Amino acid sequence: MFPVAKTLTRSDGASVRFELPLFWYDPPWIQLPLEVAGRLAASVANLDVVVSALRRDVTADEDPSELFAPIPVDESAAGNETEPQFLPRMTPYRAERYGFSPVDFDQTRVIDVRLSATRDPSGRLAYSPDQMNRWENAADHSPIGGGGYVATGAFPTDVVSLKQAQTKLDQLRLLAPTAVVFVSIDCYRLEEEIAAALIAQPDGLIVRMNQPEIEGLQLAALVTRARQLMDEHQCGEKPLWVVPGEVSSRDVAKLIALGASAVAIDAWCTPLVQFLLESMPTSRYDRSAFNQIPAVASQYLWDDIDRVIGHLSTIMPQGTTAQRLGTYHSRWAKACGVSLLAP
Amino acid sequence: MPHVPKPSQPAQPPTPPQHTAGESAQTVTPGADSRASDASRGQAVPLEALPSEALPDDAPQLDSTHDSTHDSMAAFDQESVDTASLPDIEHEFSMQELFDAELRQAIRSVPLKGDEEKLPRVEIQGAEGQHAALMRIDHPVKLRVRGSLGDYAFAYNAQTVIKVFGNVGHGVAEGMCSGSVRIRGHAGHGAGTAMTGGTLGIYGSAGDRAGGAMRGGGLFVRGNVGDDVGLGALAGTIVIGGDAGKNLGNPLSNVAVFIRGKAASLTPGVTEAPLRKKQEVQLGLLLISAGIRGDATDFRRIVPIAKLAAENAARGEVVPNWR
Repeated sequence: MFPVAKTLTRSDGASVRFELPLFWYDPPWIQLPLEVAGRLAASVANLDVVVSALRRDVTADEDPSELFAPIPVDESAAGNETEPQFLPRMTPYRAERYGFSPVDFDQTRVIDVRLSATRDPSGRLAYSPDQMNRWENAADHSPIGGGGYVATGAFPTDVVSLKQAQTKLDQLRLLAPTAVVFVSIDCYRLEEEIAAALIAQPDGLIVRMNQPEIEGLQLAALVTRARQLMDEHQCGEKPLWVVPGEVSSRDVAKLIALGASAVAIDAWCTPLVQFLLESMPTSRYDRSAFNQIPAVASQYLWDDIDRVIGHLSTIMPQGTTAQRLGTYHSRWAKACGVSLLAP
Repeated sequence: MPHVPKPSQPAQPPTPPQHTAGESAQTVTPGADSRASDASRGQAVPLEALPSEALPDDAPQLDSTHDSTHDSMAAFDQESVDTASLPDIEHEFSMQELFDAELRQAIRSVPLKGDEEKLPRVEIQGAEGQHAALMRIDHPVKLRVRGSLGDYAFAYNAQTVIKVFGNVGHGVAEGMCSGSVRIRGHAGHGAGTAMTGGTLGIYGSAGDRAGGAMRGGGLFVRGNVGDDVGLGALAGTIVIGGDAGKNLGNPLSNVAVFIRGKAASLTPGVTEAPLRKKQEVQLGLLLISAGIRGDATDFRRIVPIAKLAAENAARGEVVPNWR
């Protein structure tokens, strides 16, 4: 059976376990109040989806955060001395590191080194005033950048070349001993971008393919091509995480059959965020909706997640791409002597 | 926990920027004093100004008698002449004998004295260009590192007071939160990137993009700096004792940039302005705290044009121009 859970190995030999090949790459935390953002992040991570967040995205500095805290242990198992467990989380390591604090390295499972700038929802290569104020705790009378948009960094200021970026990734492995270090790139000029990113020897790649102009067949072709290129650069065993646009659970399984190791489910989370925005009470004393967030998250996401698990269970683990995409059970085909389907 | 090999590969000696502000320089300060005529102005501090033991084998060496007469270096050297001559070294560790994780653990376990003014002193030997050394130490001790370090030294440190008798590579003190790091030699590119607090003092020169994306704290460079200093910086203080390369400053920030020499060019949207009295006092105090002797009146500030206009508008009511 195709393994849903996977253990990834870092270049230094350490390993990191992921229960599901799903992640939430770019959550719109700034649209939600801090408290709601924190609850939602923990609720989605509780479904074993890796959630991307800085601590300051989801909580104030002095407040506790469910996403960053150890998972509470059952009282019945409290006698056993076990290592504390944490929810699956990935840390965006942007070029300019606004909002980043050292605690973001702790217990994270993925460091996502974003070597290129990303657009905000308005299309700007910049961060909104609200975003900057949340990240930097700016005083009301002294907003960041004079209260305007602040440009995103196009490349880290302390990295001088892609070759030298290898030292940066090694540094991040030391700072985040529980995490794999990925480099994320855009899907345009895929040949050049993948070749360049692999020079730094990351533990894996994240390729952003969520531009609206990319359609389903193009997405499939891009994933196939990305995996081919990684093979050509002798990195075929490294994970390839893909950030698509609108996808269904069947599409996720297909992308994995085509060579992706994990797929972002941002499109599934958008309706969830919209629902929370519309249903959150304005009164801080009305906690009913807030307390329902885990149930709502499960209601919105679990069916799709379970369908992905179901589809993946039918994929032939060692087969060719065509076999992995097949709609048959290989053992049945073999037992019945259908050699065309089970070579 | 991953292990870092003890004898890590030596870093390339950082190349100090060799900017000589050309004809495109924005301003020229008249009446340069004797301090300004030294190595910190007009050209890079020579590599000869570094201790021989602090440099990689193939780096140019220093005539130690030359720099000892310089007041800035004298301030730095006041309490750090020779390990053997200091009776108060309480702990000594070697980077050749401990893995990096072991070394950090050893430093974190140094007992404190209870007196906030008197920090335990720790001597670090065996620095030979190791990358990513001594990161994320959050412990109030005084560290003295003998030798040069590679890239990303002292990243995300807090509380620790550090002196380095050698050069450092790129990205020194990245994300530093508090405490101080003072580098006797030169630093590579991206010094003080994304630092949020504390003081980073570089007594040689620094490369391009120093203070990039700074969000607080103070960066002091006695010598020259490269291009794009303060790129993306949001807050904090940058003091440049020598010259700067192209595109100095950031128009969308609250960073206070002070420069004694010349800048090859300024970023569009920023301009040079003289210091006000209050700023002279503030800068003087900052220079003292950074261990850099100098007269604040020698400096000018690089300020966003919009911010300067706002300052002038507010000032006009207090100090009407008809006076």
